Amino acid sequence: MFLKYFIRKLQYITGFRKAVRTPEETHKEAHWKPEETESGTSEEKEKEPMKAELKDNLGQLLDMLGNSNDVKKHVFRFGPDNTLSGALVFIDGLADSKTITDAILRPLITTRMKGLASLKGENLLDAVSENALFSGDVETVESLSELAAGCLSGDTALLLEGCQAGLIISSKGWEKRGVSEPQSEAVVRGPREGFTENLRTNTSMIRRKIHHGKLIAEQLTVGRKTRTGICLMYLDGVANPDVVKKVKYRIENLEVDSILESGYIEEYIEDAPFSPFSTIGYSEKPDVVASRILEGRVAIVVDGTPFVLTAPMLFIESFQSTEDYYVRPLYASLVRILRFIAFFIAVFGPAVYIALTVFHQEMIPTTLLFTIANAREGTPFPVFIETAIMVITFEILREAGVRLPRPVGQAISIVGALVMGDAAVSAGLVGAPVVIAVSLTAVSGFLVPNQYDAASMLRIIMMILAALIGGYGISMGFLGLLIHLASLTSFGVPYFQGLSFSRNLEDAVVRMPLWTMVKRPKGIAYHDITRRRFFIPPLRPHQDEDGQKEN
Amino acid sequence: MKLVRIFSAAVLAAFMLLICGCWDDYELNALFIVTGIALDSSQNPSQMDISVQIAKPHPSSEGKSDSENEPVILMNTTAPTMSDALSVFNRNSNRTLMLQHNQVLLLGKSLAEDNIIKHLDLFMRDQETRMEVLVMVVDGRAEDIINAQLEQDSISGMFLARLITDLTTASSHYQIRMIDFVSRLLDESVAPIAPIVSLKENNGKQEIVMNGMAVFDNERMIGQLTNDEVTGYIWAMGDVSRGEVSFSTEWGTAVLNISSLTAKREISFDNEKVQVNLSIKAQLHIGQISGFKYISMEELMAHLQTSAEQAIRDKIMNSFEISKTLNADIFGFGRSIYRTYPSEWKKIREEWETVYQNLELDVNVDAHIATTGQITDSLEMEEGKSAD
Repeated sequence: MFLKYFIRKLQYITGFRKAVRTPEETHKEAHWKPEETESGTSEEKEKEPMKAELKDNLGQLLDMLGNSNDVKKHVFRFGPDNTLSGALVFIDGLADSKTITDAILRPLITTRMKGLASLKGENLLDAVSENALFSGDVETVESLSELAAGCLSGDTALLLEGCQAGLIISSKGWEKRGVSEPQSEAVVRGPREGFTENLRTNTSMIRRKIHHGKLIAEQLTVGRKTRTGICLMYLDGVANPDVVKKVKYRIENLEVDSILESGYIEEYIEDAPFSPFSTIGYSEKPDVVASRILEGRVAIVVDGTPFVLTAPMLFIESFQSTEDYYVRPLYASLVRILRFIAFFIAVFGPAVYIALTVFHQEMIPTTLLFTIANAREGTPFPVFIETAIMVITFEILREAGVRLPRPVGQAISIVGALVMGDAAVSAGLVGAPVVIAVSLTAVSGFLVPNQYDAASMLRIIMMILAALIGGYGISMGFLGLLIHLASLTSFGVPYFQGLSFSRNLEDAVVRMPLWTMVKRPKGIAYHDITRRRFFIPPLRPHQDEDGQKEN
Repeated sequence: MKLVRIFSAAVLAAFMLLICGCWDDYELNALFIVTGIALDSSQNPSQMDISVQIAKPHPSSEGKSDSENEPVILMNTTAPTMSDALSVFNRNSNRTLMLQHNQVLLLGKSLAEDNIIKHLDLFMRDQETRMEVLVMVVDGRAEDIINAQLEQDSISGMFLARLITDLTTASSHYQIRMIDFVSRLLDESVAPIAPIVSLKENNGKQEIVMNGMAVFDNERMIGQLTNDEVTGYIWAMGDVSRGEVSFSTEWGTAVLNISSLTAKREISFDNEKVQVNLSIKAQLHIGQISGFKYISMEELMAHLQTSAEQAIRDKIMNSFEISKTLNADIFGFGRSIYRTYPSEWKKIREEWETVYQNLELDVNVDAHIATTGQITDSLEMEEGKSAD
């Protein structure tokens, strides 16, 4: 499988293959049909028309829902002289009982509409939905499977005696977590709300940032078992329609069983599944997602997770923090340059230390060399082993700290600080410079959280290269890394765009003032690429005064 | 088929990158960091005494008592060449000697006066020995300097390197590295020089002092400049950013600090005679004055300026005269002629030594006293009163 990927990569590099799979190719590759799955049988059921008798329909619907304990049915009589009978089916916990009583049951039972009793079939359903129900979202469906799907997503199914169709009445209302400050992307300045696990809440939070009719939200359902709701959001006219089509195509053609988190989607649709670098961005903050949508990206909101995916993703995106745009540009640029340096340290820090102390001692200033030599004196392991021990120890401590509940996690960090910082050195197990190098590397890695996983993997590769062939190995590794990065694409957009010397430089290594960013990033934005028509700096004090005089 | 060819080419190109690499991996605790090498003449004329100074590593985890131990390891042997000595050292030590961080190459005076160039080959040829190593001549035995127990720096090699670094802030011409030394040696006219250091006992403590510079011809040391003459040489070379001009006149004595001093050479030919015009521009400020009791500030400034110009000129001329008696072109006038008048140089290169004897040096000093420091007149000065 890996070999296949590698060959495809080579084909791409040598120009024998396009960056993105064409629909035909994907179809060919993924051309297998689920032979004996229940989707086949449900299709058959779908074709089966509904019966006229309430009892039959109800029994069949309950059968489809599995007669579970939390499936509630309620049979009632209504209409003039209670001549009509109907049944409500909903799932306890998903449907809001208050809505069911106030908007469905009460108006139905209390309705005294004339001539209701004489209506039959479709007409009766229409009359009920139009005249009786107090609900804004009612849909007439003619198959039981649709009714079942409605029930499973929290709506209420209404069946009436003598009707070969049913109503799905919106009554979603389940327990959900409120909007709170995101754990993974804390800011000093900027909005503090984060996405929740609820799809609708998330889409509404994005809509609250972009009040524009061209913000399109397309609903998809993926996963044979989970039936997870997915919402694509993009700005029509700004997002590249090709990218939208690609994203949609890839998601629609997923033959998957379950989608539990946006990570599932990411893994299934990303361009480079074996690359250490992710080619799809994610964020927990609506303002970040909104800004990416405004640049022409497509947001993929997945139900059940507070992480929203954005595509296409550029390498530079990992270095752009949302706060960069909320603080003034000079400081933002400084911090961004710092992030680049930190990422370099995070990947190459231990490798450079190994190469310098093992191969290129002459490159270390003499006094520093004495210090390092004194620290190395009496330590039992070679530099590579020593560094590897510390790097692995750090990863163990980090993993332990992340997974454990917070009170225990603190104990871990105390133990870690003692073990790593002090005991290992004073016991003569490792030298103090290694501790400094590794801890600097570890801290640097956290400055670019989106690429943390890539950095910690590449770090080990670079360390091995440095231990084998020194600084030459590091430069080879760096070269290989650059080639790999330059060959990556995300939904047809080169991954390195924005770092090359031609395009979108106003928001790359430095963050220029907002008023200089006249255009949306080229290559991502498609049609409406102008943010501001002119390159207008803010008014200076004297210009302000002139303006007032004119008024 | 074409695809296969491209792939195989790519794979071969990739191999080219991967088959080379750094091979000389040494763990730091398998190395001895050499900080100084001393070459001395031996009793046997075909051999020489060679000593190396190695910074002794101290395990940092152990107690403080350890740091009071010897800071350096000294190794010495007698061998015909440096390479032989190195193989002896490597045979007798439990670690490999690492020469990249060698700070100084010390040449004993007797060795320097005998023959120097035959010992330099290894220091230029080998990759481990750097051309940045400082070259110095020791007044006495070079190994004494390497053995010295100094108060200022526990490793004498490091002390000398820092001493020169400190002097370099005054003028870059104090720094004579191997590369400077050799390039002067290779040049047909310029005479190599190297600082002279010597060991002094002061109240039972050892000190290293700088004693001017040694002047070489193409083979050996032929004479030396005193510290004063070195100052004249440095000023003639220009590019000075620190130093003092001190003089005393009939009215008092003054020390003027140099904040910058530049020199510009102009060469003119008068028949067979070569004349060098050296125009010096000096920015000075008053460092210290005493005397000048009955003199106004304006007069004093004018007086100091002319006296300073005279003092600078005297010093340069003095050094020039010394170089003439040694017949060694330490200033590199020959090189300047070669650069500006290559055709003329071709005519005189054969008899450069006699030309140098007849070379006329004309020094024009333009001194400017910028400030008087934090005070203007001194406590002694009683401006306006006459001497009577």
